[in-house]
Amino acid sequence: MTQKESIVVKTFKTSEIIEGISKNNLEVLDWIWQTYQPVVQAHLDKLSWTKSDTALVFIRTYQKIKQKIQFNTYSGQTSFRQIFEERLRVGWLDTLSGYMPEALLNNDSRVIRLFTKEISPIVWSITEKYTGSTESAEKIYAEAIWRVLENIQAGKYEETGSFKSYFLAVVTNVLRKNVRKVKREVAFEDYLTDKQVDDSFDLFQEREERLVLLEKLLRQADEQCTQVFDLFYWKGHRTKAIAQLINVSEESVRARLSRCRKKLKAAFARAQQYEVF
Amino acid sequence: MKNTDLNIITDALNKQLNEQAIQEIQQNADLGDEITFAKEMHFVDQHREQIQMQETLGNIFADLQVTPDNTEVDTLVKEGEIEFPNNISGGNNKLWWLSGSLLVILTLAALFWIRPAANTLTEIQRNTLEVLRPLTLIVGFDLESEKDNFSLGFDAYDKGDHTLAVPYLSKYINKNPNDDQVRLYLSISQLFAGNYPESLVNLQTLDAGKNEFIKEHIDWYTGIAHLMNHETEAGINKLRAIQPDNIHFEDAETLLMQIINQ
Repeated sequence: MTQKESIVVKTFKTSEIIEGISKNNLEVLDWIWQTYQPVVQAHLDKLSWTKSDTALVFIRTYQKIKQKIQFNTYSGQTSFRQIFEERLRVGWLDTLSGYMPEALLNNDSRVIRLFTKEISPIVWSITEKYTGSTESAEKIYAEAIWRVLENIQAGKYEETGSFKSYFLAVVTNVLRKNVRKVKREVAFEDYLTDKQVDDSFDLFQEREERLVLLEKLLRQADEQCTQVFDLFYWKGHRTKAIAQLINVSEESVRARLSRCRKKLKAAFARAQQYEVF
Repeated sequence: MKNTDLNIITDALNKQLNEQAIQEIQQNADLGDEITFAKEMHFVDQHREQIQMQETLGNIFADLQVTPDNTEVDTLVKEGEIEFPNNISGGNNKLWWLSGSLLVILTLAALFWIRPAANTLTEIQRNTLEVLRPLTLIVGFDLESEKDNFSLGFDAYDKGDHTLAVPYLSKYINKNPNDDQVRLYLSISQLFAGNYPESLVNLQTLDAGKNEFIKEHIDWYTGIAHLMNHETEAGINKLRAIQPDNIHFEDAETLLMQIINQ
């Protein structure tokens, strides 16, 4: 017998693999790992994902296949490779979900982009079921992200379950609220007369472009302006108190406030007129 | 800008002026414009991260074509990962009547079925029920602030209403399948509610090796669940596995003696 002939490559039928998974057959699990680990790796390479998550994504994919078998949502008509590739997308999304809380805090656009790409078809479908169209899906998605970020910042989010489930629960809550709101025809309130968190996003939606622009300009304001704006507008100090805090005359504080605001308003008007941003 | 105007803006931002005063000031075009601008600056600062996030999302959606994935949503619903109401657009009255009637029939059937079953407890089951105590609640919950499945479930558990606790805790576990501690409490509630097979499934799902709290109680409650489910041998094996330093050791020994002496 030649060396070539002595190598026996074990193969399984789809039905044997399915049975092996449901019975936790280690031989089958090992075979799936050996056969499909390159598939997972190729998927991650395609996304230029540099983190070494192959094993993690594989395990999540495997769990998702097992779940599908347990809940009888597997039709039994498709090949195992098709099942694996289809569940790989979900396994990958679950893995990615784990990075989302940190990505949201750091505004990590790469992770947020990948997560959004994977989960948005689900959010779009849920929105369609609730509202009859996908028209508002983008707004719903943004509001859900906004609320999740607020909860994370306020320490209300606990990493006990999966982030994906948590996020989808927030999406359905936002949809429920919106459906109720449409029914009641509630008018928008001014955010300073009613600063409920629930209303802040609505206000934001109304003035989105204006506020995004203002935020960019504030970020670019010089240090002197940032300092007096911070003390005067956000912290609510009087000009006399600011003068004492930064060790200049009250007159100087007033002049600086006036100058900075003029600069900001001028920059704002210019940016709007010429669409600088 | 006059100093008094700056102070008026500060007072408006700090809510030190009443609404009528703010409205009157806003009618003055110059100052009204200033206050609106100041309010926006204030808002931007309060929500800076969210506004940056909105910009990020705006860029993402600019070149993203999304097609709804209904198949995946159906799978998520079937697998209990998301809850989806059937009556999103106001509900189907016919369906409500049907499900309501079915619920009444099932409740009556359950009542008639449970009553004779309760009278036919075996000696082992009666002995087991005598030593079965709910586990002291160490999971914190705040019913006032969070009227969710978690709080409602533990409120019911705390009051000893395990039949009510089971659906709430089950819903919580569906959403948080990795919360082993809550799963243990759910399985205990299921024991008290008489759902022995379901309790066993949950107990067997728990990985006793990872969590000290689970490790302390798992064999005891699994043993009880087996005994109540007429799996005497498996129950005895679990009770025998309980070590002398375990909190349930004495109870387990007493129960084992009673079973063996029968």
